[in-house]
Amino acid sequence: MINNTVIIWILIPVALSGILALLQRFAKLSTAIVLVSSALLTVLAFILPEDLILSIGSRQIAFTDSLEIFGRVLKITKANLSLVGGIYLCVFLWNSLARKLETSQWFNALSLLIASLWISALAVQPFLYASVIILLVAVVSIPLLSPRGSRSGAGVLRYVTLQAIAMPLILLSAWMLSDIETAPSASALILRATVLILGGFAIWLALFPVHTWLPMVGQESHPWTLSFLLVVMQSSLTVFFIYFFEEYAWLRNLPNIWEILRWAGIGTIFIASLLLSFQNQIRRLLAYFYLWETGYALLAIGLAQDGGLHYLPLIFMPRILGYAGLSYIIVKLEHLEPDFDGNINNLKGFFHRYPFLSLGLISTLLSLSGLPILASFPAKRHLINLLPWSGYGMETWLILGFVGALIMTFRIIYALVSPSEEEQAIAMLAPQKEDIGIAVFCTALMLLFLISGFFPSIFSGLFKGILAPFENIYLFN
Amino acid sequence: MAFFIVLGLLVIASFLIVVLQRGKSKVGLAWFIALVASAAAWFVLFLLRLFLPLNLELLSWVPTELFQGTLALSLDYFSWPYAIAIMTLCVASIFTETTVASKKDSSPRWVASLTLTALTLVSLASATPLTLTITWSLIDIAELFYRLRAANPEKDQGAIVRIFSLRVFGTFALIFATAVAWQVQPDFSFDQIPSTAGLFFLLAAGLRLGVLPVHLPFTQGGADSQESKFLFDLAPVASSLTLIARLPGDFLTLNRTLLIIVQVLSAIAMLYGAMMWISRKTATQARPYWIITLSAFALQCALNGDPGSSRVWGLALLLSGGLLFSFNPPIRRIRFLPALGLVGLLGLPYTLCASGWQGVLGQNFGIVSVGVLISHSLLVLGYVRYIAEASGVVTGLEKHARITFPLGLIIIFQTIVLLGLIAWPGVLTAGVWWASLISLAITVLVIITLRVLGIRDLQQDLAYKLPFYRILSPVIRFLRVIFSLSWLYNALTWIYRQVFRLENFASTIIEGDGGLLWSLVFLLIILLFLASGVKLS
Repeated sequence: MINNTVIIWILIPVALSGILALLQRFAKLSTAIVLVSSALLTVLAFILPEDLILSIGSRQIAFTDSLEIFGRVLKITKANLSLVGGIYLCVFLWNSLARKLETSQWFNALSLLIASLWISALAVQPFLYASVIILLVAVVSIPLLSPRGSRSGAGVLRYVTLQAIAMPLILLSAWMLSDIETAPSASALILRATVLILGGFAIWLALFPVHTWLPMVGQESHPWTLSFLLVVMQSSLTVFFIYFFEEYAWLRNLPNIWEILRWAGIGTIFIASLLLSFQNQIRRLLAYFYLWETGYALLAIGLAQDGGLHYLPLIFMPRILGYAGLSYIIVKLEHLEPDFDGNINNLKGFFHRYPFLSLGLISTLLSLSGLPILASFPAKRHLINLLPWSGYGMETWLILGFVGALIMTFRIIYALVSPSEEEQAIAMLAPQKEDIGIAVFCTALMLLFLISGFFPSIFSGLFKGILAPFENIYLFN
Repeated sequence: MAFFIVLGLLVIASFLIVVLQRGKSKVGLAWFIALVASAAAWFVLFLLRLFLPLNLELLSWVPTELFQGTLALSLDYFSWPYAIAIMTLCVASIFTETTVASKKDSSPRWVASLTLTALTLVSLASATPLTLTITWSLIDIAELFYRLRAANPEKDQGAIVRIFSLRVFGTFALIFATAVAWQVQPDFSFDQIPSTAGLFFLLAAGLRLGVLPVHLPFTQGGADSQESKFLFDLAPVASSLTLIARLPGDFLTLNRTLLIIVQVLSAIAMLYGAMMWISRKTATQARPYWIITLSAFALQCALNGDPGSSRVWGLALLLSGGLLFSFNPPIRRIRFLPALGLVGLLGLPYTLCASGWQGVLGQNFGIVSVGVLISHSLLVLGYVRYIAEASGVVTGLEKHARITFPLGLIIIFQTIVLLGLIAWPGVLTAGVWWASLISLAITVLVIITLRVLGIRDLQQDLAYKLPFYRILSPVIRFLRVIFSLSWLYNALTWIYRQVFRLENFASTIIEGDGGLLWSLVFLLIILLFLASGVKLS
């Protein structure tokens, strides 16, 4: 019974999260349980062979890959396990520092629950039922985004509202789909269903102009918690988006749909970059970099005809590193400098006081911006090369998109290295105490950025299986 | 393989010095290691002239069908002369450093010089755009952290970040230029640059060199600036110059309007740089303008369809410039040594620059050609002026520095002579002899006029002794403002601030109470707009 992939990667984590909820006051025990379980789930996801038969010595354990619950089928095949492993890897990484960074005491339990919910959203068949689970994820996230004792912010409310609006759009499209199967290809139903699907995903992915909850939540919530939610949500939603194109031939064969996706990607990159360049609050950077990365994911999907989809999994690891680095550094700066109000202009003198955190912040921003030799560069370089550089329409907006993100990065570097106005120069130059944990984290982060930038194949192998379930999408051209 | 010996010597020497200085400071030994390693590297590099071209593949990103990226080096007639020039500057800087070594421990600077030289050698030998992009970034990041570490926190930080940001923008311009070329030829090397992308590569190099549009991507030495930093300003230029030299020659097939814009911007940079070069207080303060002017010469060669000729102006920038800027302290008695650098700048027949005139003047003599001759004369005038103003005395030097300092200068001069003979086949030529004579005539004429007017100090005497100075002065100031493009940068800053205010206003509305509705209305409009674009078959 237990050798079922659905039970292992969905039901057991759900049960564990229930136990962890009861143990939330025992911080060390709770953290140990979540770390051990997520590590096991990650390793098992990556090592399980193609035929789902695990050999331990002379003993062989065969896994089944589906389970029926409430009349619906949940199915996790080997093809899905790369993403599953990736999600549990995030659970492991984020939980390893969660308590040190003073996140909500529910983080251990809820992060495991959220991960299993995202996996069930990707595993449920018919897959349109995932929209209900995605709303459930939003509801479950509330205690993390707005912990007990703190005032519930407008951003969280807006987030849940928008997720609730997105759900019926997707469900309505499912209702129309039943008619499409018998309708001619030129039917207006196709257009309506497409608008509903694209609208639903635009809200889910927080594309412009329904992105407003992102900076608001970024400002209100704990950066470490938010970065976890965003990285899991972004990775799962982009893969879920591809499912639609995989399943529906009418959608992927719709004229101009790929160009629309490309423009949506470029537009998102440009707007994220524009908003980044004018930003003053460091906490909001995470929100806008999420938007920027979503733009690249859409661009990769839009370039599927030219092989762009191959570069989607390549962005995963740099993104995980980037979000983790950015959120960790923001939290640490706020801890070390209680008077720091989050304004970028008030980072003056930090380079000399907190050299590790400053170097970590600079390299994180440069990596997310796609600077050569750092993690994001190989994938972004290829996506740029795949664009048809002939008309200079899309390309011009993409260049402007880079300019904005770089302006933000240089503004932060300038602020970090500028001398503080209030303090005496000598006092300012004295390095403050950065504990060994900060030094280790920032050094490891910078090394990982460099390794990923120089040798992209190291991490590309880890997530390349994410595209394995998609076969039809490659057939249309 | 021998190229790796060169790199290995530089890197190992840096490492040895760092290890050595961790214990009891041994400055003399550190200097000796730096000198021996750099001199040996220089010698090996010179020998490689016999084996050109050399191609070395470093690494291929795998899986190749996914990444299509090769890291490779190529030492040929385009990169080797620049490599020798940079290596010479490194050796010379270690020789001439002895004038300041007694004051404080200079070993960190020697380590930085050796490391920077190694990185620059890899960069200018880059055979593919991917290699160049990566090495540019490596150099920029290494330089950023070195400069931040050494900088005065109250004064220099802004300039350092500005320089870094401009260089990074140049790197991204290279990435986009590669993308343009990728459409014609994926994963190409520099000898396969499609002509349709040539102009974009030129833009990337021009941006990094401070020419397109004119700006200062280099430090402006103040009065207390360490003159020995010249290597840090000159070395990053070399790889951009190599890129220009490798460009295809058929730019004219491209968009004519874009070509004219680039040509005008390049000419502005050339004239502005030359004017600023001659009018600065010291050679160190004028250094960025020297780089901009001669880089603009190199760009003109490429725009005239003869990018190969750009090499001589690039070498003049590095070697004649290096000779002048390493002349610190400027000792009056040996000022004939930097004056020898004029051999590499005047462009007289059968000297290094002689083969560069044809490229920079173009096939048809026009208004830009006149600008080139005037700029060249101003460069020569400035060069002569900064040497003539040398006023130091030899007694201030340590005994060993009295030998090593001139030796450093002589090494640069002898490299100028050697490269004039063997840099590449065909370098030894009479060239356009009349161009150098015209430039020389203008220079001599100006010097005689200044003498007649009794102007000895350009900074102080000009206002009193030059006729019509009151009329000329505002005109020159106006031209300086126009050519510096400061008005353009001010306008862009103003636009940025206005958009910033607009964005703040929009954020306030969209994040306010009615923001959710606004978002949904906008989304609906966008979806309707997109839906109208989807044509059902």
